[in-house]
Amino acid sequence: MPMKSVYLDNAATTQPAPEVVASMTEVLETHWGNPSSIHEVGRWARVRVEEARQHVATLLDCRPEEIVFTSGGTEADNLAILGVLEQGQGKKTHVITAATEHHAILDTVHWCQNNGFDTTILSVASDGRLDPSEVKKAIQPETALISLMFVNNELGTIHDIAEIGRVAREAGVVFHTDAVQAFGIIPFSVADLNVDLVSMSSHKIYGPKGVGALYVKKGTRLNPRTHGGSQERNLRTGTENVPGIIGFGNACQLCMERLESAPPAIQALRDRLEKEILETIADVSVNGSRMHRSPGILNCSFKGCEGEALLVGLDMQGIYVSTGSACTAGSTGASHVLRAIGLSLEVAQASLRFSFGRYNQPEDVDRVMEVLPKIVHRLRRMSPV
Amino acid sequence: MSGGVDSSVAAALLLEAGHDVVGLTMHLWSDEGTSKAPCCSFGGERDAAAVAAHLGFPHYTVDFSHEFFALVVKDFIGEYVRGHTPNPCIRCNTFMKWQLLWEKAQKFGAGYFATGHYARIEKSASRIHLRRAAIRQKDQSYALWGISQEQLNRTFLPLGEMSKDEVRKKAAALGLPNAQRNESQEICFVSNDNYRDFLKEHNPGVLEGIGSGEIIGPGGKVLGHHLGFPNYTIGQRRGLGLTWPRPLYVRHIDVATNRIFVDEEEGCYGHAMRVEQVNWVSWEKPSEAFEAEVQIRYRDPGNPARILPQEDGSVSVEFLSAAWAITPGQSAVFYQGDLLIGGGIIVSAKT
Repeated sequence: MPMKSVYLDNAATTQPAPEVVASMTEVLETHWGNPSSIHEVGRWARVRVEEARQHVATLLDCRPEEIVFTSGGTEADNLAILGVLEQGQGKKTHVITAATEHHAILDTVHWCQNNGFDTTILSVASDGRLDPSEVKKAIQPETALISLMFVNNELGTIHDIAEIGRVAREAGVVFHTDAVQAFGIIPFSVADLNVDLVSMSSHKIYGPKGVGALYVKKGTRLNPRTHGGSQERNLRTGTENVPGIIGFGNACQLCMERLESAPPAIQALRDRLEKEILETIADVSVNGSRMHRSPGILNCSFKGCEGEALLVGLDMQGIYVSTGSACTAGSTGASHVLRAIGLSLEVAQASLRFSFGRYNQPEDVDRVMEVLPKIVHRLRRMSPV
Repeated sequence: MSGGVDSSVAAALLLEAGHDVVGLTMHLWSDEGTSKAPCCSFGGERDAAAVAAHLGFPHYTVDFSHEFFALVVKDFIGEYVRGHTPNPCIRCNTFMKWQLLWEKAQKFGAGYFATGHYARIEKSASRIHLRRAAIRQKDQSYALWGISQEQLNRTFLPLGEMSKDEVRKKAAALGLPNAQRNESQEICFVSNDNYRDFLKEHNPGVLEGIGSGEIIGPGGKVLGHHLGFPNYTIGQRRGLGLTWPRPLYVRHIDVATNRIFVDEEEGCYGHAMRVEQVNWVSWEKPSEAFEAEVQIRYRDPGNPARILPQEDGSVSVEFLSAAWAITPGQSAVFYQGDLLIGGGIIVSAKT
């Protein structure tokens, strides 16, 4: 009998909601026009795109005209950083970020550094959190942008974005947050955050891949990254990804309906898995702040085991987890996030990330606890340590 | 799994035999810091993954790029700087595949290890024997002399009895996506088969430091100048830029004086050599001298010789009839019939 598989990698991507799939199929069949066309076919496509924009705006609690659709979180991050720096070129040439950011931010900031901009990469505390006063100290007269993530994708650590935003606002510096792991997952209103730019992704919230958005607070000046056409207020030109945007909008609607109920339900599963792992398996340490943490993410290190071998062992039993960010999978180099919170190479390489989502069931935790202790035991028996 | 036909068919045969197969591919090259990354690994990883998906077993790519650089590429560069001509595939088999990859496979739960090499393993009462492939032209046992008994005991080589033609037919019959893929005989990390450019790119200071030197012809006459000895290999004829009534070959590289000695074909025969880093495969370490066929490069048909094991673990080889272009850095592998007795690295030759 084939066993039921257990998907615990929702921070990497989520299964598209059946409603989302249906909405995308429907729009491809009925309203497949070009939203820029003047005729009726185009007008219908425009109506659908703007409906979707409204759904995204509702979930973020902003105005629809502040939403710019992109191809995803990475493009939104690039548009935010490069768009702001190019806008301030000449005078404002400094950008601040942190060592635990996603590569979409870090690599973009490194590119800026190699192209004549100044950068400050802040370090974080051992619980993964950033001290807002460190941000304040790093601000210079030339600082154009502060970019700090809302929820860390590997640890689930939640940063005090509202407080950092207040610091940025006081200094008159544009503030961007990569909220890919927060948007639709934990309830918040953008109005409370004191941010100017917010990156969002569709496929982390049961929508399709290839679409995301950047919130651009009214009045924030940004240079475009693409040219040719005037779509998305000239900031992200090119014919809109209509089915992707419709799916994303629908995914936002579904998240909105569950915004209060989903996090506690997901957290209950995560907390039970954490408790059972810590009770059943010796020498396990939880990485990152346990208090300020996204409800679905559990990152822990199993002393004496290679995270990669644990992942493979679970995979062969139909349990799907991650050793860190999916974007660095295939690489056994230790996670830059785990290294940044001060873990030794050995402990960093012994880590696994479990990330829960909407479709997980209590039996999923049971299944993990049936399989995981045996794999840990086998690997520890093989390990010389 | 390299992504090539051989390892893919090997995996398919194991699957047919009822084994629980997991495919592993080594990611050997990180493009960080290099402008011209060879294209070898990525395409191979994709092809191997496609084959595994087609046949229906899990496949993982493991990142050994740092280890590969430290254990294979550095030695490759270092050997040329010592005036040797290395064979990186040997070190890759010994230190990457049958060491690191095998350890990784065990951590992934594997009890046995298989590759698409053409050679045969036979278990006898006391020792695991390694034999040449059934089809001599495809035999790859030469590159496997570094494997220990414990490792051989857990190794399957499913292609040992097969011809390349049979393997290709099998791949086609299975509908493998890579059935038509061409085989590469080149060193996987050197693009365009040009190791000289590779050395220049990866070790520029050292090559410049060595600089040009004399080319000494038969009878001790200076015939010309060379571009630095690491650019040459024993037995090389092309690219010497010399005028001589008969073809000249590199006979000897003298690192100390940065001189290259060239000679006519008959002057390049050697009678003896010293072999180090010896590993005894099908035999336990012998205490007595013995006669064997000695293969001194991949495509060498072999030369009869007396093997004299030394106290320090090295081996002296005295050829019964002289061997052409004995090349330090290459592997010497001792056979009796198709039985691979042992092997090592040639460190010096005597004419």
